[in-house]
Amino acid sequence: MIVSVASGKGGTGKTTVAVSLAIAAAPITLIDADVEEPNANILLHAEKSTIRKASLPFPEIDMKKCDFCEKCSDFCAYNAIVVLKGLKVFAVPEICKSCGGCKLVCPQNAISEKPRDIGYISFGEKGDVSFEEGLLNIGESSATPLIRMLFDFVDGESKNIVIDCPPGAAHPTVESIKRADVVLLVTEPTPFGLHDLKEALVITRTLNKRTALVINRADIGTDEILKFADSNKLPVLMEIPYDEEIARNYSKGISPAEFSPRWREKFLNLWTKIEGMIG
Amino acid sequence: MKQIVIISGKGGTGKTTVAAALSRIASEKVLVDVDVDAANLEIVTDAKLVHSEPFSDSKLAAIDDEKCIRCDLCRQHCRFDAISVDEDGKYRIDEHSCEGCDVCRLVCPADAISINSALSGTVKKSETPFGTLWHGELSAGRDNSGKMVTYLREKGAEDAQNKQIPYVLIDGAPGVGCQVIASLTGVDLALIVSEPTLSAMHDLERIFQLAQHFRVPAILVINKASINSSLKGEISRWANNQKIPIVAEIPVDVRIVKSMAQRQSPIEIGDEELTAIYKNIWTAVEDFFNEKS
Repeated sequence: MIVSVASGKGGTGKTTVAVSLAIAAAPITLIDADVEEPNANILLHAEKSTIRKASLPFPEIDMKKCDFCEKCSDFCAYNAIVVLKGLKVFAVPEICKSCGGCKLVCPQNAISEKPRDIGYISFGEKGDVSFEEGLLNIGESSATPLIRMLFDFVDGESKNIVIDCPPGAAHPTVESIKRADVVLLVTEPTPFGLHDLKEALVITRTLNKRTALVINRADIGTDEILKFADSNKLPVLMEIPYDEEIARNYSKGISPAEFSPRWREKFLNLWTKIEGMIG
Repeated sequence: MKQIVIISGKGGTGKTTVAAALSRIASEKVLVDVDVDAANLEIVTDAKLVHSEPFSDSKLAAIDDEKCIRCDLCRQHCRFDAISVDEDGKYRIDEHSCEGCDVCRLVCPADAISINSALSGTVKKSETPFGTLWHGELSAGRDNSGKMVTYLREKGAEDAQNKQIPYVLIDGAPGVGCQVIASLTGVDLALIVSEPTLSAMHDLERIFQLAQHFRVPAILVINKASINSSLKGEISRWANNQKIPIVAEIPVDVRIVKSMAQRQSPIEIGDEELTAIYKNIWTAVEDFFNEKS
């Protein structure tokens, strides 16, 4: 079973839930797909055993063959190719999406692709939790391809997987929940939580995913979320109260499942409920 | 006219809370919310929509099944995993993964693929008691290319220029990707909101590197400062080493969370000490520009 832990809004507690769930339901694989700001291992403390560079194909133009026909720059949907007529033709790494189109259209066969590093993928273990994390290089704009690469290493594996997803409701989030059997949306009972939850739901619905809620800081704010969940037939599988002990431990990098057997049991219970959803 | 962007790296550290408070304090500014994935500033600024327009910056491929000869070339060439074959053998474009690169159309020998403009979302202008707010909403599942962010910023800046308003206050997005890069490039000052948790500090270093990368000067607000005093000390030392001024420390205060849940800002709590903290942030912003000029 693959469970994606997501949310529209940032800072609702995705990582706390994902790591606690992984610890409670181990043996399991935990993937941190929030490659812009991966934080799961701050709570998990896995020792990283392998670190690989992640790269994308990037066009290189052989100026001996180039005749400045500009077909590559005309084709590029992202305006990533600069042609300085008679001087130089080059691709801009921050804009290029590595679609490979320029290489295909070049009539002179002047374009080849070389790997360009965009970040790192690392692997580790903590107890019965196998851990994988992506880290996007600073200044690199596209998180989605790096997230896609994370799954190359687990596709076909039979182990259970928990995915800590990036915030938002755009392509990186889609990529992180595409493979999920169940999407767990972590939200909070504020107008913001509700607003961003609705955005996230648009995705889980179009992707036809079984979706359930965890309400964090459940006792602060209003019951709007519960009413919304009820009228949309969204099961609320767990409510976590606002708790200074959880917040203080989180600040030090300690998850509820690590500091309290009681919470570990609650998260195991959550896992059983998720399993129940796929029947 | 000066542009100030509020960023954090990690989500949920309090960007919008600080933006909401500053919206009450700064007298002349245009507000822009560029977290188009999860736009929340409108909720706490009593915003009344005055204008909205569709925004399309993305392209999507479409396959004409009648022309498709099932040659599979499009699927093999798609680098975005956006083409799949359904149970009936039909080729389908996954609109949530397609980046509109045009390669599938290029390689299709049957002329079965077209590339079309796609709606990416809505751009909105609202009036609030605290000034004009430019905001937007990306349709869920679309690519956040940063183009809507850039467009909103341009609109806000234009507005400020025309009305001779000295500041544009931009509520940013979490992360360090496209949307954040688009919100940082060319702004005059980054106001980073962090908190003394290991996660937020990890992300603080990354967002600061990004600001440096684009040569944007930064000042720092430590939110939820009382949650961990030893880590707060660590942030202070780090900021000192990096020469980032810490302009405010905001304590953990459940009233702040509750005020936001009531669609208000921390200023409406009416606590003088707390209000003074937020006032200091804005004074630091103004001082930054006064010292520079």
